[in-house]
Amino acid sequence: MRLRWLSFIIILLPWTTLSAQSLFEEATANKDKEKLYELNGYIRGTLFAGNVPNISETEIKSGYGEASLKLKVRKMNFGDGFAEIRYRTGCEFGESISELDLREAYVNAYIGPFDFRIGHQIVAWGRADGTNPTDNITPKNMIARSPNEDDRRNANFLIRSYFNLHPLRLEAIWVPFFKSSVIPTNLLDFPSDVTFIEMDYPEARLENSAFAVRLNLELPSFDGSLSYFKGYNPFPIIDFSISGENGMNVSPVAYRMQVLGADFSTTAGPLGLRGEIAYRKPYQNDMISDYIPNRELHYVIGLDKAFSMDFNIILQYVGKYVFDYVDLEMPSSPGNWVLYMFDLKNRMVASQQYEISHSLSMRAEWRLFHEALKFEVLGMVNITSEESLLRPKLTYDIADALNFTLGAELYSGPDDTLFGTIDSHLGAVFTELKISF
Amino acid sequence: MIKVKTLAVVLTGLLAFSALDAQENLSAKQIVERSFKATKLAGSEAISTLTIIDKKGRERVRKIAVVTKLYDNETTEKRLIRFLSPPDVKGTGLLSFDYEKKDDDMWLFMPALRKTRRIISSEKAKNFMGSEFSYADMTPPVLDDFTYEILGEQEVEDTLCWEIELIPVDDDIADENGFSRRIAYIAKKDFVIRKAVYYDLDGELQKELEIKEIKEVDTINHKYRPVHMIMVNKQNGRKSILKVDEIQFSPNVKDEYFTTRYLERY
Repeated sequence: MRLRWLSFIIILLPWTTLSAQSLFEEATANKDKEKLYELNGYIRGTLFAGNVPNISETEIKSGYGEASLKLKVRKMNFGDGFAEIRYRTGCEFGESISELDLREAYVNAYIGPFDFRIGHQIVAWGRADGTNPTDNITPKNMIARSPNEDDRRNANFLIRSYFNLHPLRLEAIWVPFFKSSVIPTNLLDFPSDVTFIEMDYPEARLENSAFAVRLNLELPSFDGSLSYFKGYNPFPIIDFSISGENGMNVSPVAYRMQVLGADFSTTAGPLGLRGEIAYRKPYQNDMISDYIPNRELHYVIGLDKAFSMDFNIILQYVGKYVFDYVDLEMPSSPGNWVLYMFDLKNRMVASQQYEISHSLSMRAEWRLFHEALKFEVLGMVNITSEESLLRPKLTYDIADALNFTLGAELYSGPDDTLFGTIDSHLGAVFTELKISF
Repeated sequence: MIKVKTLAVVLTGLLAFSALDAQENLSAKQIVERSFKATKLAGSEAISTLTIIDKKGRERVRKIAVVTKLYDNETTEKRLIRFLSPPDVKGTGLLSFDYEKKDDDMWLFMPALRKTRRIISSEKAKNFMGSEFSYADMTPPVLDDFTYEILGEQEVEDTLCWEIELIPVDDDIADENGFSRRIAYIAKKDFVIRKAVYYDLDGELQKELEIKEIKEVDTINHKYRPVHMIMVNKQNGRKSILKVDEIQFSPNVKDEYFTTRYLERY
């Protein structure tokens, strides 16, 4: 057994001793060999304004200044470390804020065909645009207010490893501790006497950790992957408990699931093709709540087209099929109203209000004035639920690394839908001035 | 002994003459093909600075690192471009496989997106990083996409050049490349382009490329690279300067560079 390990280490040695850096590596790492670290970051001022819910008046939803410091440390070809710290101060959701956030902090090691990344990090899976059914590792903050879509992602601690055997690439992830997405629980029109309480996280035990594997195939004309996830869904459901005589506590609850996924991207002449599909199977027997989402199949298929004049467009169809779907019926006795209400809210949050739902999405990007001005529009329409999202964004480069952004995030939908519920709370126009260094 | 020397001199002279004669008999397409080959390096690494100057004289500066390698009997060039500055695009990487006879495969990695995205390569007319150079200017075109004609000879900066006209074979190719006509000035001595003039899709003069400096990067196989290029847009008064700060002939550059694994390692 020892001999086997010894031969394994010997096989790895030739790679680990390759320390000479080429001109390209020197340039991309750092020209100054004495200086083994780089410090970058940005400073931005951001303002969100929108309607006061249920009143036709305008309010400042968020206004903050934020500074980010990004530190990159390199050790030749062996590995590197990255950390980003953000400090934000201002006002959000009607309250003063002053937050220091370690957005990411991780270390990479490159050992022959193996890559390892350990630390507080963000994982983004899926080759579709915007809607990624296979992306279940990193929690999201659904109420984050930022012109940058990536700011919705919240890092969690995990160990990520790759085995590279080109054109195959096997990725394995272990998430030892659960971290929940932030969902707009308090915006979901619960009765005024409910108390929102903090989520009770699953204990940090091995059986509560999440595992995921993904096998990538990367050919010149085709990229694709198969993936599997098992563990607690970072996107929780909402549960309730009775407290005292008439009181009710509401809190998010995590549930376990398995997800089998696949995705691909390729080109066909002047068109790009991309697709993603995931079969999600929650553990129905855990009995952590009266509501557990049903099994579902979530799929995305899309086309990209690039036109001259620097105009690109991505069109996607997004569908969902909910297995074992049963229509929710109005309760006959008042005693079942609470259960009915929570089923309704949870179906809304889990996007399982219909047995089959159909959505369309479009992302168009137009770069003008020699890329100094970028106009981007993201539009999504759920044909079944009649919800829609429109996110236009205009970014102008005043100078290199100094950008001005103006945009909007507009939700709409019937009152009994998620977008219809959050529209006046989260819908806003925004502006930002940002300088990077 | 003298006879042998004389014979050698005569033979060398004959060979040189026949080579010159052969050069004179080249068709326009053959000259352009030789021109592409003259800049095809088995492998290279370079750091370049791109300066974009608008008509008011305001400058924007971008720095890139590029690594290339030829594959498949020199019919495929793999290239990785890493953006080094300005800071808001730092880390962005573009991996491309340029084929002789089909559309390229391209992948873009943007740190803000956190994933590699396959992109469509057919629109070569697009500006490269907001400059006056287009993607078509940065990669050798498909030879059969154009018709060629020798218009004459002209000296460019004291170098005798063929003046060759390239016309796209159809409107789609013209749209894709962004020009209806291109006049290339290719040096007779080394087959390296010295100047090019572009006409837009309406046939109007659009851009003029000047090659200010050329470097013989592979001295054994006599392969060259332009290391100082200026593209002037005659319609909007903008100018872009691409200067190669450092270049190195690296035929044995690591294959690992041309993978999405490396693209994501910024």
